[in-house]
Amino acid sequence: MEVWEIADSGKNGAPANPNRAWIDRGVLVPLGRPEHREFGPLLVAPGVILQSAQHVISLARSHSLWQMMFGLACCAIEMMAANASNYDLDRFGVMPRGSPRQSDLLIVSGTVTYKVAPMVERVYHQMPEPRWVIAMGNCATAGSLYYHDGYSVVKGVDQVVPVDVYISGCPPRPEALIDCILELERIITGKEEAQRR
Amino acid sequence: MSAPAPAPGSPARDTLLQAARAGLGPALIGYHGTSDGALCLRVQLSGYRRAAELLRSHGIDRLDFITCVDWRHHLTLTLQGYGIGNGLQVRLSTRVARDGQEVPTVTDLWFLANWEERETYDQFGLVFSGHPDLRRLLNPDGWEGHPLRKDYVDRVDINRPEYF
Amino acid sequence: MTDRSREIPERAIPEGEYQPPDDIQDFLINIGPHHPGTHGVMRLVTRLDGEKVAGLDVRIGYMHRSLEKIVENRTYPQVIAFTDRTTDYLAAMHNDWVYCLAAEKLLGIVVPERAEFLRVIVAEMNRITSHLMSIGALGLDSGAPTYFLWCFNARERLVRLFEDICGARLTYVYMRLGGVIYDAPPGWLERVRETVRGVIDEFPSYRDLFHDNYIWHERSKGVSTLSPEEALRLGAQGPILRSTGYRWDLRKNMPYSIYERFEFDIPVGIKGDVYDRTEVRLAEIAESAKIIHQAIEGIPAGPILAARIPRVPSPAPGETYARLESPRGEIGCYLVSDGGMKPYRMKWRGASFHNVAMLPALSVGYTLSDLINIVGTIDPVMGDVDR
Repeated sequence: MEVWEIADSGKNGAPANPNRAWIDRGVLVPLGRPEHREFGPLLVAPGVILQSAQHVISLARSHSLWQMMFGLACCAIEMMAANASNYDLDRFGVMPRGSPRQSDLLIVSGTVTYKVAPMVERVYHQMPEPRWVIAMGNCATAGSLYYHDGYSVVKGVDQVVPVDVYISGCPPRPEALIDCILELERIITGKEEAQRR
Repeated sequence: MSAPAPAPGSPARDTLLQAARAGLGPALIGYHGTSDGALCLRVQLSGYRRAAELLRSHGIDRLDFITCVDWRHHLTLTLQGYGIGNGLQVRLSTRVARDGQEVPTVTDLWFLANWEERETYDQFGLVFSGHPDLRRLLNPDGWEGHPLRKDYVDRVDINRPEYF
Repeated sequence: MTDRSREIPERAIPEGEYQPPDDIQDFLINIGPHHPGTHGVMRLVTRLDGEKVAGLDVRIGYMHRSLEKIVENRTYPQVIAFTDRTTDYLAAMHNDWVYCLAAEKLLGIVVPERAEFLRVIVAEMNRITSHLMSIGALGLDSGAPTYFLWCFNARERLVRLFEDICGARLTYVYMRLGGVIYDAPPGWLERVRETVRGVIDEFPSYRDLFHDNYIWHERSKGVSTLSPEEALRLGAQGPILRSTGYRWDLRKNMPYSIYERFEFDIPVGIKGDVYDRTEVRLAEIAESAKIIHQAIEGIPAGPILAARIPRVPSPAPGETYARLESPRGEIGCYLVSDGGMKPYRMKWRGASFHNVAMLPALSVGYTLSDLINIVGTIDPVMGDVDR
């Protein structure tokens, strides 16, 4: 893409500062240089943000994660407490939904047993993409204290579905779940800080 | 409508003990009382059903549990209940062979025995003859083995689990 | 698309006579194991005759975490970490307590006075949080989510007190063999008293929103009524038995610990229906508040843990059973020891296991939406059902 020139000129017939011309005039100029995409939104004119569609869509997705309530055990109580009014996940856009068809975040909270593992997988496959999975609590992360001698426990839900963020805790505090939602927001929008963890 | 708990050595307990010795005869192997007032009866398997009926008719109307303990050469089937009306606590235990022996069911005496016996079958493999619906309760339907036995081998490799 | 709305079906219906199709039958619907109800993974295979439940098969085991097998490979103090989360996690204190009662009987440990009072205080606080969660979840399932938020708000205040004394919000490993592990921080008892009184003071607004609401009355009165004789035949326990009018509570009828020293009533219902069960739970919160106040008044100073308990206790061979009244009914722990440092066999008698076994008897004949309410008032916690 080429850079369009400004037709108008400043005083004495010489062109005004070409770098500031479009801010003064409010004309949208596509820059087209690939390195501009990583600098975040560029204020091109009052009320206009220049950004890739992908970034805006990721912002929208990460700030309206509709959660599929998959509360299995004790962590479900803390998940409900996080959704309740004291720790209010609704201000992050997270709304608990009953149906997997309407949700894009699966919070597996509680122990996954061999009897319930096919249901977790089925619910995961019923969710439309893009979808993310949070393994909440020690049991969903790695099987927790049932790791040894627990013959009926799947040692971590990542044996069944791919997981994006793990939360440790038995059960984790609601603030840990909030931290995890924020971490997931960073992952979805592709911020560089998320990759360091 | 409530009943206090009687002290150990109550008349209800003596009545039950008399009836047990009379009704069971040689099937009653032994009995003893615990410190908190419970009466423990040990019976042979042939007298298990009769003993359960005796308990029911003497006011033991609340079932606590039916379970097994695996003592490696044999299993011990334990049934515990108490009576709301007379406050009597009774524990009935009998020795069962590890494999191949069937135990009569007590589902018609106590409503809760249904699931308790299903769980005992699921975890120990003990078959209750006459049970209306004996199938696995806690473990998945196709599970191999009876987990609470002492010789149960966990067939699942922790590093690479196979489910169903 | 062709307009098929005026097509005549194959079987011509003679005028004036309605012939139902030959293949009409009961509708088999599968609820669960995962469903938006808040009571955990339980599968209800329901046979529906129209809207009414004609038959119900309850399938459990989806939360079976092999408690009894695991415990056979843990030392006696280590088991407490399992009893409070693998079983009924909403009444974790009660579950720890019943195991401690059984193990202390086996080991012959006597618990000091202050520890008994602290145990009673935290257990009754746990009963309040459990009942609040139960009726809040019932509100959520019935379509009153605001009530759920109010109950959780009240529950949060109590849970923060738990956090102050033992560091955990839900699965406290607070009761140990021989007493409790942490003493009350300075000012904690006063804060407990104030918080509990604050919860009780909110009861008029709870009644106004939910319990006196005529919609709730329409939905709950007359649903799943139970007579005392039928309840006893089914082996009902806890609030379900008390709602039928039968006054049976282990804290009064088979007292354990120091419950004989406290004055409190046992609330009973009249008809045993969904409405009565909820009312019984609400009244039990007030009774627990009474017990907490009396315990705070009378708590003595002293040690909180019995002296000279070995780190790895090995009781003599024997067996014992302990029972107590948890918010859901009667729980019990049957411990068999063979002299070693690990329990040889622990059988957990869960309250919800038997409550859920009663579910078909309680719900046949009522509609599907009533079934959700009935499950809510039975208040199963799947950890207790499946262990």
